[in-house]
Amino acid sequence: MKKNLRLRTIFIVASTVLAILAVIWPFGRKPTLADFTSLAQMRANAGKNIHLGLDLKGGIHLVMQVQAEEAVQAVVAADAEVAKVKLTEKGIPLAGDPEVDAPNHVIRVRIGAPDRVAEADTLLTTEFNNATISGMGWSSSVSGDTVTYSLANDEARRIMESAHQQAMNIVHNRVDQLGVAEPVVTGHGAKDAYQILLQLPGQDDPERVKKLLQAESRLELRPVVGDSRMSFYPSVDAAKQGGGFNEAEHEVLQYVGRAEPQDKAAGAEQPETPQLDRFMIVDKKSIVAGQDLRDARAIPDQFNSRNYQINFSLKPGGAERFGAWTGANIGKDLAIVLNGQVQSAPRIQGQISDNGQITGNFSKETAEDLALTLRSGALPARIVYQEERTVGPSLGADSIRQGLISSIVGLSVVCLFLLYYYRASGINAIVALVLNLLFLVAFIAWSGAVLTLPGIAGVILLIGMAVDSNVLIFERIREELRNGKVVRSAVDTGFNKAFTTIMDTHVTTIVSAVFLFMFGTGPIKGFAVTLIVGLLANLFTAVFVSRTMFTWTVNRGGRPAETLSI
Amino acid sequence: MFRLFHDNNIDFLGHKAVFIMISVVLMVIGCVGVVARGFNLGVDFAGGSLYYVQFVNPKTAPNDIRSALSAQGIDAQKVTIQPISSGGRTGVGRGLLVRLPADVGTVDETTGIGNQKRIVMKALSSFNATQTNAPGKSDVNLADEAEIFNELTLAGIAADGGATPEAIATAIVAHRNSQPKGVYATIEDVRQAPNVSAASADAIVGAFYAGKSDINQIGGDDFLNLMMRMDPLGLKGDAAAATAQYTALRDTFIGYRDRTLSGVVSSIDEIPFGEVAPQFREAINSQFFVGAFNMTNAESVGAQVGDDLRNRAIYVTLASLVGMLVFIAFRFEWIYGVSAVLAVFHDVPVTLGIFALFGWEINLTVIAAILTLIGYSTNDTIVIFDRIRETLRAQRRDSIEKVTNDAINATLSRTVIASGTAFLTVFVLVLFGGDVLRSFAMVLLIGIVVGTYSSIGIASPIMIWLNKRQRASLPASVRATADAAAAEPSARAARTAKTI
Repeated sequence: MKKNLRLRTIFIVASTVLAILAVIWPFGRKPTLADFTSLAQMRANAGKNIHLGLDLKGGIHLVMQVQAEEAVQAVVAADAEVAKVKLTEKGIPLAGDPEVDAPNHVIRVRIGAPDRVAEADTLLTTEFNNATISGMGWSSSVSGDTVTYSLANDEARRIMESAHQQAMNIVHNRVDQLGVAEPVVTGHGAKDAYQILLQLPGQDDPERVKKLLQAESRLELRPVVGDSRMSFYPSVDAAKQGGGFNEAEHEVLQYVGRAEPQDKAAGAEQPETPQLDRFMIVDKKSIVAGQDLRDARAIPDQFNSRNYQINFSLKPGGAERFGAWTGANIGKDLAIVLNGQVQSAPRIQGQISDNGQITGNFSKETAEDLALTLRSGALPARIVYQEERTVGPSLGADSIRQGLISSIVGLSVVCLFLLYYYRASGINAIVALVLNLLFLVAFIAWSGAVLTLPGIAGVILLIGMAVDSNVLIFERIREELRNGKVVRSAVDTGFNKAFTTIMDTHVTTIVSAVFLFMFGTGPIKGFAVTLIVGLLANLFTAVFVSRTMFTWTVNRGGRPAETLSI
Repeated sequence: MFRLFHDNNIDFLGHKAVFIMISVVLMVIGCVGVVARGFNLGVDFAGGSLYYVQFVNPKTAPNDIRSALSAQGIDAQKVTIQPISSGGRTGVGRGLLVRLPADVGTVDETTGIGNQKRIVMKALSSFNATQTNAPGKSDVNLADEAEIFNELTLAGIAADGGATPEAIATAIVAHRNSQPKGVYATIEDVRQAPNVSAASADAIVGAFYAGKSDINQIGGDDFLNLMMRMDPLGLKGDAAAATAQYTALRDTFIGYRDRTLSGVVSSIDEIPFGEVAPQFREAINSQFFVGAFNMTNAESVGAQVGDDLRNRAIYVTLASLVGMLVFIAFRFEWIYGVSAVLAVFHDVPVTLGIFALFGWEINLTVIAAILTLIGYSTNDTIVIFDRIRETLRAQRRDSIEKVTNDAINATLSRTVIASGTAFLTVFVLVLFGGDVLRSFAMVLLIGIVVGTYSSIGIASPIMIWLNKRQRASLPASVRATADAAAAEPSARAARTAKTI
């Protein structure tokens, strides 16, 4: 018993120390002595570790919806254009422009020459499907001289999901320009709502943010001057002096992409992070821009499925220009420039007009990143703002201060009552309660979870249930004492009997909180998390810690106590 | 020892009729509240906008705002305006909460949040004595490259004389920063910038103004950037010292305006910059005016999102109740699960009914409170059910009524203490918790009372009623087995209890 008690005590002390450390540890840097001796420093560290939600800290909260259906209709409209170009190319006459039924994702093409309808059907079906995400999705039916193409719902959904993803990526890129610490850009709401949640802590001007999102990112494909890929210039000045630079026609841009495979072949290590000292000279004029690109996808290499390549397609106008340039510049490099930074510089292997591939030893991730870059010129569909909240710092500060004051007052009143009603045993309850809150705060600090107002609601329910657990146990012990049991046996029976009840109440609440976590929106999730973690901590403090303290009291002085202050 | 109850033996179930009466009365009151007054849904659920506006003038009246809004074509009848507490601060002007329903103002998109904020800001700017000469434009002296780039691309400038919009933006910002004071005195100064064509300059002049900014509306980052550029203290030689010094002054200013006060200062002189060279105050005075108000918080929710949020809140609550029911059915018996959930079903409409009756607003925070109340109520119910199960095992001969009554009596002091302390905590929250937490605390305050009552007065009678129905439907020979089965889970629970 003695040894067991010592083990339990060590375990409790150790977990308490760990919890305190989790709160005050200076995460992200090497701790110094001051981190553990200076009260102000510990406070500052704790403040940094506990992430407050926007409702407490202030900032901008925007929910926007991508009008994803527009992206599908844009694909349908673009394909109608492709049909016209392709048929004209092959000399197949059209009876009028292709008819677009955008809401139903249908294109009707009337062929002028009845004997070439079948040929046109095969040609366009292949052409349309080549440009889709899955390589299929368009089906056709012929009636008389009209071929009707319709897009499958599956493919439409894939386009919408891709538009959502792409819009999220663009929002992310542009928000980066604001230089906000810890911005949040995630999907939001139901899966088919195609919403994006954007949170910018500490910002106060949503109009400015909206304007930034409204502007287009500039994606351009520009010729690289010289063979700078073999040796990047280490600085802008070095590039300007390096030869071949002409102020009027060229500019020096930073290269932020991955190291090209050639670097690897030359024995250079693939760097983990983009290097900041790589520059290249590119032409000021672009060959094609973001709006000329139709689509870009990462797909597995057909010979080696571990390798990936990027297939991209251009709109008719851009295809013409691109075809002319690539035809004349085989063997030269092409810079993919996003917002003035070179993301990649593939080499032209042959003439490319409407469909091209970028190959190299791409992994799945790097290929997808580059495909996403190629698609990031313009938003694929309109964005509609559905929710906009700006929380000033004063309201959040008020909530924290008033919430804190009332929590302290409330807790003190409860503690005083527990001491008055349960005498010395009340101390057990108070220690258990304080430890419970400490473990919860430690979890919040360690996990980086965000504390919001509904989270505080969870804490209040938690305090109620934590006090209740102690009351259940104490009332049971009192009952057993009244029934004439000796102190030690009363404590044992009291704990055992109350334990079933405590387990039942806790697990029931945790079960319902898990549902809230799984299906709830942001604020409700915050409520659920604090509740689940707090209740688990309470099982430990109210039962294990409190019982250890009782065992310690009962056995004090080497022999079982005859009375218990409860 | 101090005891709340001495060998109490109150016949709770004998007063079943009274409880049912009370519940019926409460539910009727609730229904009357809902029918007569309807729910006062907050912007979270009804859509629309909510603005916290802090005015410098403590005499600003709701009617002043109404007439300013009317001047902008907003139907002032539909606008709700109420005062905000100053959070214990003094001498901070007047805080007003302005709420617009979703259908006010022109709406940009059918599903979106529209342009209510722009209209309200325009209306409120009529309170400013010092008008900026360019309403709707922003200050070029606060703009960064990204903003200037945006305005250029929005004006349709793709490439201008060979320079990209990005290069033009960089050139303008560099030119502005190289001015003697680091700011443009007038917006026309932008035309002097090198390599910037007339078309680009026109775009900038059309989108920006140069002049004084509102000290009550400037953000901390903008303030810091402006001061770093203007550098009235002449610290440019030492970048680290400049950053430290101006950051400290920024923190002093923002801390004073937004934390000591409620978001507005009434004069620039009152800002406690402390011992600082007079050039600093001169720079501030040259660049800022004191506006009449500051919109400290703004919430806009589209009507459709409001519907979504409401439906999701309802579904999630129902899903968590079903999860609870299944778990209780698994631990006890299904009739216990049903009774517990029905008791909660009784608490929620009663609480919501009281909200409707008093016209209190229902928002996302209130939903969090209702979830909390569900937690409290079930907790109480399970404690009693647990005791019933335990007593049932010990006293198999007693009727279910007696066992239940004994269980309620045995747990009565625990019920009173646990609910009482919870009530106390929440009561303190109502008193000191402030505006934001008050609605939350009110739900809990009502909920704790109703929830405690329903575990005794509703859950137990329903359980007994279901229990009797179940027995009546079984043939006599099976009843004994059913009793044994009822006791079975407790044996399992007792085994778990030993493991601690």
